[in-house]
Amino acid sequence: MRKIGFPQEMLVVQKANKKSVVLYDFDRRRFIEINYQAFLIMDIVNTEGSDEKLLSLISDEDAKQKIQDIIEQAKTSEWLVNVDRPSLYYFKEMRITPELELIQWELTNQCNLRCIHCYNESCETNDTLELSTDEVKKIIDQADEIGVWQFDLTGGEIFMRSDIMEILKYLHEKHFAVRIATNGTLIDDEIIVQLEQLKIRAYTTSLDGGSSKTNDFFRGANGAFKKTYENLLKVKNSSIPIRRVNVTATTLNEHEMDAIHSMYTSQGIKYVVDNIVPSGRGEDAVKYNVSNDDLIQYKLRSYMEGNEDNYRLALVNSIGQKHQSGVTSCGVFRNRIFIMASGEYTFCPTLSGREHENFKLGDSRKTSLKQAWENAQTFINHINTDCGNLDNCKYAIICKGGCRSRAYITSGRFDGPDKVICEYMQHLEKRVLSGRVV
Amino acid sequence: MSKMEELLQLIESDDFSPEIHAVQEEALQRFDEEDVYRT
Repeated sequence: MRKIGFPQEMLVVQKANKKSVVLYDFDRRRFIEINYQAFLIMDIVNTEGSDEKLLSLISDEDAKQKIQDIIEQAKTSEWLVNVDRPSLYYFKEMRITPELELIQWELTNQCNLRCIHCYNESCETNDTLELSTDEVKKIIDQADEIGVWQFDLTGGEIFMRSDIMEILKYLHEKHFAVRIATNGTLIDDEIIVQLEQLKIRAYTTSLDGGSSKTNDFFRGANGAFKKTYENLLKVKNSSIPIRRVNVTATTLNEHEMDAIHSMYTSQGIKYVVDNIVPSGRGEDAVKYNVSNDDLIQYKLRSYMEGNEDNYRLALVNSIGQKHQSGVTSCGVFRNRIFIMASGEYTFCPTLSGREHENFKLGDSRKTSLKQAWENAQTFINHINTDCGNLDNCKYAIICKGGCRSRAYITSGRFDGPDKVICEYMQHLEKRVLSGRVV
Repeated sequence: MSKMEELLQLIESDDFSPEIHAVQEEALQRFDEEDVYRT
């Protein structure tokens, strides 16, 4: 008889309030948050292989209907699927509040490229004393203990580390959902196969031009465009989802933006456009930034690709809704922590000790992850991390204050506005609600 | 207590409201992710 159950390789993360759980499917790289009662129903079906026994034990018609609805929804959304055997899912428990869900980690400042806008000044001669393999594993163990379930790895270039595959294997053994950001020049077919086996959740890369000429000048290495793009297409043909390609819009590549748009959309690859942040080598490179108006047009075009309905829905749903204080657009200050290549805990790549002494949350060689997260709360509780205009802004429920880093860097205030996103939202509303296709 | 017993107890508690509330939220969450705001 055909059975139903959870996807075979699945992680269950119980939230700290024990009232809801996150399910993460390693094969399909997707997650969902459901309440505990729904999970319990699905878990019983997973164990039994069907809903027959469960439904036969329920006499209350109302309860039976609710259970049938949940099972039907779970089947439709493919969280209960046809299986040969029950899923022996992995289990984690979030043990601290506020819950720390994600660690973003700059594993190294070593990089084979020398991008002129690099915010952490990565290059082959960067002498940051990075964490050893054992030190990295120790942090991973600490993360596992308190219920973190996601990692985003970045650099520098993570494949400059000779132990990167060992680190990725360790993360997989500990059942973390791992996304990687790489310049894509140091990987090959064999590594891509290994990344598939490790069920890497998503792949992000960066290209700052539509040709070798513009990209390689910007990235400081001849041949970078060819390798990055070739490997991007190889990853596209693998089981690893591409999260996005980061594109910096500059006066040097502006004439290629149409070509860049076609380059990705023709392949079904998502790309995002941004400007240079005046941090690290970016301080000297901001002279190449395009105007905010131009940047917004490029952003609109990239985000709109296939997303018009989502935007329209979000805007319509936002009417009359009030933004919840403390909820930020990317999760900074809320559910994530960043580790610099030096091992220092901080908030995000550009809200770090590089920007302000107060953003230092502890040296991971001396401070536990739990303690660093507590240090973060002490800081957060003493400042207003929201955009100061949230209560009066009709876009607040969508923009959530935009990028708090960009707001801080450009205004010098924690509650300052992210002017790029303020303008972006106005343009977005005009375009979406007028029904124009960008 | 088995999972089945736990469920039966919840049903009797008058607080039985199982929800897969995030099926749609998952799509919105993707929309919300930091992509739009990347620095």
